[in-house]
Amino acid sequence: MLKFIRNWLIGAAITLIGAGLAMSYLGKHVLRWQPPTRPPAWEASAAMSGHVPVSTAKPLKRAQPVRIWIPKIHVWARIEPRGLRPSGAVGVPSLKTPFLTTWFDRGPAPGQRGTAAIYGHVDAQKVGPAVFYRLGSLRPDNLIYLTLASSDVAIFRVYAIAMYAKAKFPTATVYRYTHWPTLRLITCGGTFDPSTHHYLSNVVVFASYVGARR
Amino acid sequence: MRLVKPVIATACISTAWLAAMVLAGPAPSTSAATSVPTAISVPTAISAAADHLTTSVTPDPSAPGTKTTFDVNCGPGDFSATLFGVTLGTANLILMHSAPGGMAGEFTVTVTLPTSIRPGSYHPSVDCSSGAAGAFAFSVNPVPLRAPETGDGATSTQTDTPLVPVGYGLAGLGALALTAVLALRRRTTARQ
Repeated sequence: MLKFIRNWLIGAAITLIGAGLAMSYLGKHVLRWQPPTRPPAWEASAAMSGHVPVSTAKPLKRAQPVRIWIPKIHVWARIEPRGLRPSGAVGVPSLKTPFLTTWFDRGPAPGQRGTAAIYGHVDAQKVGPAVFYRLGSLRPDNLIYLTLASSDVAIFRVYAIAMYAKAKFPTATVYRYTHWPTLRLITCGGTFDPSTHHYLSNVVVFASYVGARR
Repeated sequence: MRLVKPVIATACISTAWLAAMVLAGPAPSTSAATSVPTAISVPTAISAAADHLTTSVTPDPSAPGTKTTFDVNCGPGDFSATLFGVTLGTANLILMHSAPGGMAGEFTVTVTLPTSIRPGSYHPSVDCSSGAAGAFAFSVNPVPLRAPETGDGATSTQTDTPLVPVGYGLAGLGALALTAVLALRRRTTARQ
């Protein structure tokens, strides 16, 4: 009986060691997080058509956006203004502040006629998923709330979401002037290139102004 | 006392000169009617042209690659107007058409600004058929030229999941148990 128990204990210990080593191996070779969601290709069609849904709300006066709230993907983040870098690329938040978003302050403000643009990181080594990690999960009719320095909250409704290769980034489509206030939320996505340490695409959410509240 | 008189006299002359300057107003500027080859840094929304033409630009500010509409009111007697697009990097002479639904003498044209246009203020000239001339005034804001870099691939590359320490813990526990059982068996065997 004692021998049986002893052999059973040896077997259990060996199983434990095997299971532990297998878990460690898996842990080292399986991605810690799901790669960022890719939006389905058909959701981009409204962006390509150039048709912008309008409402009867009155556009707002220029005011700096200070906060963004996207209930669908649980984003509640601060916004800071940024201009252009000498390279012609827009200023984006530092990777040290992965939950910060930035607004392109040389363009229209959210709620003004034209296209306002907000940028955020998709991920960062420091934290893993960053502020716009789930941006690809947004779908038409999802709402975006932007608190402005004027205390107004500008409300936008998503009408398209697209993924564009960075090498062929359609600047004209994304930043095109619209006679109605529109918003773009932009982050990285698609395939990650380890040799350049960059994602090969950008995810762009197209949203249209529906009104404001205090 | 000798010094006081000249000081008072100088003060009076200075005051009189300043008063004259204020009453006369600012010196007339010709810059509004002058075509400038590149952007200048005087931001104005709607220009008052040299011949009192009413002009407007939509949108203002505009941006490279943006369709921009130029409207001018030359007056009822005019039958055509021409926009000088060379300052914008477009065709030199752009014929404007009668504004649809507008009054006689109102002309409009929509131009797609070149993507290479530099940010700044622009004053393209406009001529009416009557000979009246003026200039539009609007500014061009920059747009980002390159795709933004917003991520370092953490979620696409990081593999150190919490399974690793848990697995090492289990393996260590197993090794400890195995050692203990083997030691116990050795001791038992030695006693027998």
